[in-house]
Formats: sequence, C-alpha cells, structure tokens
Amino acid sequence: MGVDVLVAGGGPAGLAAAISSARSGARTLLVERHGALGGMGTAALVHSFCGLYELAGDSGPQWANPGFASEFATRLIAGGGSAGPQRMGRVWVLPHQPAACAWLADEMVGAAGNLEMLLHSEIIAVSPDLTAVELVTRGVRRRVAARSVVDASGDGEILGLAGAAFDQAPPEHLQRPAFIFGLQGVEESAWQDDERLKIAARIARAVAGGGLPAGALGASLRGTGRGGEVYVTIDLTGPSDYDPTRAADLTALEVEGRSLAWSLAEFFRTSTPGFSTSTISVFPARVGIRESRRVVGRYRLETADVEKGAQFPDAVARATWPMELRESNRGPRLRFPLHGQPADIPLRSLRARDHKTLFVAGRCLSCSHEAQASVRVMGTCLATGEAAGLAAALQATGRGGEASDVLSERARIRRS
Amino acid sequence: MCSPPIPDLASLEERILAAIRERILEVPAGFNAGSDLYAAGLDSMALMQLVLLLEEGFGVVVPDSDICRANFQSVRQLAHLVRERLTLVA
Repeated sequence: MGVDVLVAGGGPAGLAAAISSARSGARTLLVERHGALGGMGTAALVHSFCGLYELAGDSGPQWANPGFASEFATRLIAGGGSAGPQRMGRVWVLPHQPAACAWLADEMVGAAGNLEMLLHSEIIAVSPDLTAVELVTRGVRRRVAARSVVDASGDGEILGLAGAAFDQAPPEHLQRPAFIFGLQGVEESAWQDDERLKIAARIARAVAGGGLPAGALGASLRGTGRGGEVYVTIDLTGPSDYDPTRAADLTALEVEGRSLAWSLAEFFRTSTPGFSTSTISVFPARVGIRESRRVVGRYRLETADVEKGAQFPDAVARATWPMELRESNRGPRLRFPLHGQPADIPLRSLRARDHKTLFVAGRCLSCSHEAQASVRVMGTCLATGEAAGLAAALQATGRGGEASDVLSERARIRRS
Repeated sequence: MCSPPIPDLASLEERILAAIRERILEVPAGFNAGSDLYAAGLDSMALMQLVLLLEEGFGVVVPDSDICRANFQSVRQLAHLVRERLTLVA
C-alpha cells in the first residue's frame, strides 16, 4: 500500500498530526504500538493536559494554540472526559480521564476520512530515503510507501531507524520517568487540602525512617473526583546510565514502578486515615517517559528562546508551559519565561535537518534539553502535531508546506 | 547540658531560603522570605523535601497538626514554625 503521510505514534502529537493531515486531504496512515491512542495520556495514565493555556493572568484560561489543541480539549470536556481547567499557581491545566483520551481519539480518527489507523503495529525498518516503512504486527511484516513521514513516536524511533541525526541528554540530566497508578476506595476527604500535604509529610518521614523505600519519596496524589479514585505519581530514578531507548532499562523501570506502587498502597492502607479500604485499581500499560531522543532539525529551539519568549517568522505553535525540570526524583524545578512571554515554535524545529520528507512532532522536536522541558507537555504536543501533520500533508500533495501554508490550511480547516 | 542558643528569625529565614534555593525550587529573581512558595512551584513532592530539610537540617519535628497550607506559604512562615518548635524543645 502507499500513502501520502505516515505518522509514527498515536500519542497527542501523532493523533493531532494524523487527523490534521487527513482533514487536509492527504491519504494518511497512523501507526500505533499500543491498543489505544493517547500515548502517555492514556497508556502511562498521565491525567492532565499541560501547555493548553496561556500563563495564568487576571482573566480566566486562554487557549495557547487555538486549533486542533483547543478543539480536542473542548471535546474532551463536552464528552465528560474532563471537568474543565484548573488553576495551579501561575499555570492552568486540564485534568482528564485517560480512558476518555483514547475514546475521543477513536471518534476523531473515525470521522476524519482519508485516515487509516493501525494499532498493535510497530515500525521495524525504513528505507534510506524514507520513502518506505516496514511495520510488524505479531510476526507479520507489512511494507508501506509514504511521501512524507511524521515521527511522533516520542522517542524518535524513525530517527533511530533512519540513522537521522539526533541529540540525547546524558543519563544524569535526562528528565526522570514517571510511574502513575490508580487507587480506588479512598474517602473523598482523605486527600483534599491540607490532608494531601500531611500525607506528603508522612511519606517523607516513613522514607527517612526506613518504613518505605527511598524511591517512594516524591510520590504525589491527585484525586479525580470520580468515586474515591486517586492517581499516585512516582518519579523514578532508574539506573545510573539510564537510557530510555534501552529495553533492559525500560524493563527495570516498570518493575521498580510496580514494586514502589505496591509498597505505597500498603503504606496508605495501613497508616493513612481515609485509605483503610483503598486498593490499587489500575497499573499503567507502560511507564511514562518524559525525554529521550531530540531530532537535529533545521532550527534548534534554545533554552534562551524559551526564557526570552522568542518570536520567529515561521512560527506554527507556541510553548506556554514553563521549563519543568525533573532531573532528579526530588520534584520539579520550574523555570518561567523571564517576561511572561511564551516562545514561538518555528516550523524549522519540526523538520529534520537531513531528510526533506521527515517531520518531527511532540517531545522529540528540535530543541535544547531545557527547552524540551517546556515543549514536551501534551497540550503543546497537540499543537506541534497539528503543525507537522499539516506541513507533511501539504508537502506530500504538492501544495507547498511552508509555515504560511500551514497557517492558512489550519485556518481553512477551522472554518470548514 | 545546655541547649544551643535558638537562632533569631532573620538568620533562620536566611538559612531556609538558601536551602530551598539550593535543593528544592528554582526560585525567580527577587524571591524573598515573604514570597509565595506555592507560586514558585512548591507542590506535594517539593513539600516532602522541605519537611525533611526542616527536620534534618534544624533538628525539629513538624507534627501533623502543623502541616497545613498556611504554614508552608512562605519562608517567613517556615522560620516562625521552626523557631516555635525549637522553643518548645528548649
């Protein structure tokens, strides 16, 4: 088979890229290794969209990237998958139900036309010129010709397979991965307001006293408001030479996450008021990876660009989330733009330097390690995904593909 | 045996602020003892570090009843909290 645009990965960036490409009229194939779309927002149980809104000001939440990102968020709320934005200090976030993310993505893919979605499929090979991609599903190979490819795999798997240039931070600086699990049967009053802080203090003391493993330090709780359900997030440390593209390391992270979760669940049940009948309701399908490969693109979004709120003539999206550095499991360090001005993301940062038909969206776009700590969040991934999908579609179908073309096509689709 | 002298509030504020800067939060320019810690990014993860920092660094025990949003609002509040606990111990 042959398509105009092949999108690798069905997380927020990939689903936005594929649906936008298809809406633009390009024959599009979306390839996803899991059984559902949504990426980290489904499989890893990440339960908030960050980067959807401008930094909080005097007025209410304002869309950072009107277009696919705002459409997805609006439909998530309308479909009952989110109760709406919440303010947390200087930022707005959109807490959501992971299952809803998968459901909504299915609905939107189904309505897009021109779009085939293949779940349970991995990309195992690409031709040197990237005009063909080989997929595998349960031991069966399939070859697909593609005019343009969007790498929205989060880990830059196309970059890895194509031998395209990429950067990856050294192990000690890579953002720590997160293990998120669900608890059910928690009394509603048990985690609210000051109780959450008291739980945090108790965990800290239990770790200091040897009652909990050191890895439990930093566990944070968020109630969903849905029938005594609470999500617990643990930032994992990983091995000292941690590499998120190495199977042994990913395996160790999954095992470490489940072990910590089991210890924490027991600790909550036996020593935390309101948790005596709580139990683990769900483990994630996979650990949440925050950072791995970053493409070497035609422009590298620098740390100073995000700090200063840089503007670019070929801007196609905006990064409004602060640089949220999680280089240790001691909690995030937030670095806000100096003047409160969000940075533009130029189309050049979504294009591989060495491959004319390769676009990159989501957390592996072309940027510095610190800038990635801002652009990696799911709300921004929706926006970079949309831009990369449109650019790939326009180029593959001979309709341009410059930033101005992307903006007009986005406006045309919004009007239709 | 004599207890060591209880530090004054200003020096406690200075030490807590320095420790937060160094170990817990990337605070913006101009951040001082009266600034809002939550606005600077203090969440429950950072709060765990902060509790350990106060308990291990200053030799106090912060009881559950003192763990509340208001007490962790600013470095000034924390300095008051630590001084109160040190006074009780002395």
